[in-house]
Amino acid sequence: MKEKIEQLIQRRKSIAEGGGPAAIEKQKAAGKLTSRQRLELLLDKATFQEIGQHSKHHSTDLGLDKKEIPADAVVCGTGKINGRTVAVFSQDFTVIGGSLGKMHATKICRVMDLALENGWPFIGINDSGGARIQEGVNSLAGYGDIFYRNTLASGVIPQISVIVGPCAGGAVYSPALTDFVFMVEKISRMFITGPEVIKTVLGEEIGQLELGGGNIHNELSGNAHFLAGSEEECFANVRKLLSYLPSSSAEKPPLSDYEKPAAVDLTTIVPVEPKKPYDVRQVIQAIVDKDSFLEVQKYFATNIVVGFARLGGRSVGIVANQPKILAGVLDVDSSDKASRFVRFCDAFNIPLITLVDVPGYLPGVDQEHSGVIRHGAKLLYAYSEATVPKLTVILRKAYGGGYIAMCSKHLGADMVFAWPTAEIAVMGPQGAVNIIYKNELARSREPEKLRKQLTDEYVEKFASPYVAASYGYVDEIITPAETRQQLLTSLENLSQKKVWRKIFKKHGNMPL
Amino acid sequence: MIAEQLRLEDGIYETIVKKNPVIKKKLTDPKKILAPIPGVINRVIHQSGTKINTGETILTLEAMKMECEITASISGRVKEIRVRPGEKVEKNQILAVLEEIDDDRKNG
Repeated sequence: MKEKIEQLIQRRKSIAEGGGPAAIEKQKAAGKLTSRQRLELLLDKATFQEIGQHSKHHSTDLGLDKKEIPADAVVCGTGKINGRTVAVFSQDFTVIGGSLGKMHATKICRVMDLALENGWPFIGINDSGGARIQEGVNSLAGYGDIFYRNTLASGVIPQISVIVGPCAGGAVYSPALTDFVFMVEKISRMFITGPEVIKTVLGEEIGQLELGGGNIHNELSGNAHFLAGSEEECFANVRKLLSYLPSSSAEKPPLSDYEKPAAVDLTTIVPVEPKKPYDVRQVIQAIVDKDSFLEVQKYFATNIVVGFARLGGRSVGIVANQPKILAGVLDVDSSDKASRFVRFCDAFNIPLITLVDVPGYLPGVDQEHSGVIRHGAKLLYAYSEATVPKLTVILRKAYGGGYIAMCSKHLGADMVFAWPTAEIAVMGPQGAVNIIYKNELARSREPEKLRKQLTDEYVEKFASPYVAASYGYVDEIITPAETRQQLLTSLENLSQKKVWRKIFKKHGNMPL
Repeated sequence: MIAEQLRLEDGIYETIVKKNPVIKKKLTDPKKILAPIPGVINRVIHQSGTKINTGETILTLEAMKMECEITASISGRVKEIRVRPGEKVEKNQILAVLEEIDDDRKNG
């Protein structure tokens, strides 16, 4: 017995060493942590329970029969984050480049199945050179099996992908199917076809980080949601994000202790003149619990701000137009960004708070030809479909299609509030006057004088929340100082909201 | 606070008009044909001195079990082929050099 136990301990020890000291040294030199160090950073202390560490590949082709692949290049198991169980995998780049073979994928699928059956969040730590070519189609099958489970688990358990190394080719699609992608500057890179193929086909030279580094996917492509300067910061962010989320769609998000936000006079932040900019994040911070705002996709489509926060200790999802950037217009990217966030919140019982200050959709050939029609439609779809409590505050302008799209009463908002500075209209005064009085203005001897007079009349009549309120499209007009309390009360009242859809359907056909 | 402006239907808004960061693309000298990936030269199709058009295959390179066609980036003539079939090449190694055909000389 003693001998057998000794043998087990030896095996464990050798597996824990992954690719061995030389490979680990190389990993360090690349500025990266090892697969097991990463799990230590992610999970509560001493909570990791490994699953399948003795897995072995069974491939005999192309010299693989002579190759020892500890744990088949991936560490899998369960652990706890803030006391709640999660399922994890962490690819081991020191072992055959973290390449994905049949058993590697089988292990990942095993923890995914457990996560789905038991309602645990699922976190994948990606650091892999890609498919294990020697295992041929079994390697592709492995990817497919993971994608299938990602899809089944979507909307049931939160799924998070952490990219801390290469993630290329087919491997990128598992992260793409998950809810949130975390990347680290200088370490992470994701692409379908790498620089070498691009050079062959197009003759263009581009570095891996320029093509698919953390900055690119956080700023430009929108494939990633969080960017960190180091792995430590990245894993701390994952833990923080999970604190806002329920473990599965069957639960409500956890309640948290909270402090009131610092007292700020909102009237000093938001200028009355609708064409003047301000940073809407200051408004968010003045309304939600102190230090509770966690921005999602902070660097992508910055003309809209989305993120998690707490109000009275309850998790909420915030969507807000950002007048500081591109006047807060809706366009292709901001519609995509907000829609996906709204759908995530709805799937996981997180109430939505929408702060509106929008001049409409961005005009332009580029936008029209990029399909702003179908992208813009996503936002209408996502809000209409959402059944969580939906609270809307119209801060200033809410013009045209932008007004409708930003969780208006018409898309099922439970409560719509408006500040006295709100202007709810088909379009802004200047645009409206130019269209309605086109002929009069053309005939006038003093067109500028007439334009001013007509604009003033329009502003007087329509640039307020009172017309919309008279039809019940705005439930209540509130002062900026009353905003937090009104939202708190509404959230409490709506905490048991249930919507019964009467028509059975498999699923809708969202514009994609 | 913000100097930039955006013109919308309703007039001019003061706001940051963010431009996408420009990703620099380094275009290589089109006359030099480099190996995009390490591999082994399979076949040399166009010997030096032959005329060639853009997109025509000069030689083939085997890398990662795949035959990769190395094509001409310009029309002209193959000035020199610097590799032989069976030769192992490194990434970015010069495989061939092309030259433009002087139109005057051709006409004259």
